[in-house]
Amino acid sequence: MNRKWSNGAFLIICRLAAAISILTLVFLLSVIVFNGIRAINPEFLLTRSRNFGAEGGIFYQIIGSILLVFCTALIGFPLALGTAIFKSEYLKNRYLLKLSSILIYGLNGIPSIIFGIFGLVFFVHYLNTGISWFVGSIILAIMILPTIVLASYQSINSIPKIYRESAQALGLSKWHVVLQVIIPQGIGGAITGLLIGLARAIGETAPIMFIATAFSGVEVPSSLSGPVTALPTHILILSQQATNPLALQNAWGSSLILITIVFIFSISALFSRVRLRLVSQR
Amino acid sequence: MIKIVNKFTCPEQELEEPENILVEIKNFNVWFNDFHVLKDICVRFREKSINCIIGPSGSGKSTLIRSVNRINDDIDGFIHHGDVHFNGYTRGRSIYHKDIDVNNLRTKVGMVFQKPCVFPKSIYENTLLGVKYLKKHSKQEKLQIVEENLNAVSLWKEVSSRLHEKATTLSIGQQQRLCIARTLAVKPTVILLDEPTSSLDPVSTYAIEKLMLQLKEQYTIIFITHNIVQAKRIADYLVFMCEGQVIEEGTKEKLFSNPDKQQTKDYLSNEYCEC
Repeated sequence: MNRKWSNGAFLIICRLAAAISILTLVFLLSVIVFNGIRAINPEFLLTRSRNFGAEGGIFYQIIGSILLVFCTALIGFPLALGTAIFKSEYLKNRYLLKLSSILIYGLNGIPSIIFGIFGLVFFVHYLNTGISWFVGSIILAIMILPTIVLASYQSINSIPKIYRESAQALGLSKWHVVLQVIIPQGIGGAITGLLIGLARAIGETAPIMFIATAFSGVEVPSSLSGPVTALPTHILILSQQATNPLALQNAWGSSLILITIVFIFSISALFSRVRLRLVSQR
Repeated sequence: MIKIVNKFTCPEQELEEPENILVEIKNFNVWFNDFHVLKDICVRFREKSINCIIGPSGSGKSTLIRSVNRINDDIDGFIHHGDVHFNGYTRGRSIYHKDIDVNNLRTKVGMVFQKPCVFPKSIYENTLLGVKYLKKHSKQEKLQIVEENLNAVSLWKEVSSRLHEKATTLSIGQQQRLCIARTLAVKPTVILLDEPTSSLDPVSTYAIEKLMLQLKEQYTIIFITHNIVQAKRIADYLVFMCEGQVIEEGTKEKLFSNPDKQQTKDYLSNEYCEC
């Protein structure tokens, strides 16, 4: 086997692998877009669902999903940013640093259904909260915590030491250094992490289906307790009625909307990262 | 392992004006983990003059001045032994005494680093970054502080029309002068400069040297350089360091014309040092 031939073969294998991955993605997206687009019209987006979702729209599902991830961001972001700052600026013990990394990676590896069960056992039964959208947000926040912590930590930890020393040399206390130097420079990475985390959280069914959502007949909750309806669980219930063509069409439509929202989050994450890189290059 | 040598004491030096000593370092040792970086340092820095520290790379010059504002404290494995006195501020205690407020000390001992480090904020915000109780100042007072300090480093004319632009848009030489202005705004007594001109072009270097000669009227300047010609141009007092030890200190005239030690003579004439 000469070198030219093996080189060519390797190139072909790489191209084939890339082509298969891209085609799969394109096929998947085009099926969803092709099937989903037929369901989409103003009525579908702006009215409530009827007959267990087979008829009507998904207005409250969209609102419910956005409400869930909005609260998830409010709970998760400060916690994660605080953890990242503590880990980067205050935690000096090498073993504790290692341990905290293991814990964060460990939390990242837990399957989402386990979070759902934990929420059901701890919040719904033990703390007796009942089914509550807010508990769902808490569980989603815990679930995406590692993603935000890791992104924030990387972004904060990559700020050159000279910035910290220059600020300290001006007599700024540690707290002021964090506030004036670390947070302004690290926030971009943290927001990227948040958006990636939220893109994952909004598509999750398992963690919220037992604890935060009802399948139909729910509007916007008026308090922290009470269920919401959300897009992923709505798709789940619609796919269970797949024999009904109307329900199936609505399932495709809901999927398209969900993917669009995820796409918006991912694109925003990408842009915030690009902007961050431009700022750091200047 | 680390051995702390207590036997060493600084030789009593004959000084013409002992009252003009502002910073006095006595029997000072520094280790990074078990690497002995500074060995029994005894050195005095004079008030309102330019004290130049010279010596080859790795001789501990930076470690020494970084110990004067305790910026080394946060470095992993930093161990020190000995005293650093800051006369008139620490009332006879070492700056490493447990009752000394480090942040307050650093407002008295400002520092400018080798590479200019401006924050990704506006020129205006950069100048005011270290000013205490900023919220109590009116807008007019803040602008006055900015103008005063940018004027002090001859930067005001160049940037007064674009104070709210990012400081990162300035040239490297301007950035370094902004760093000095930012340090002056905190109203320090001592300014430490760690090779501030080594990453600058000759014109900016000249501007900084001229600035040093003006600033020494009001401030005590401790200036590291490994450019002997630069030391000759601006220094009042020289400290020659090699391999973590102070080989000789004294006035510039004495060290250049008639040094006590052969090593000093070799270094100042040939930049060669065998310590």
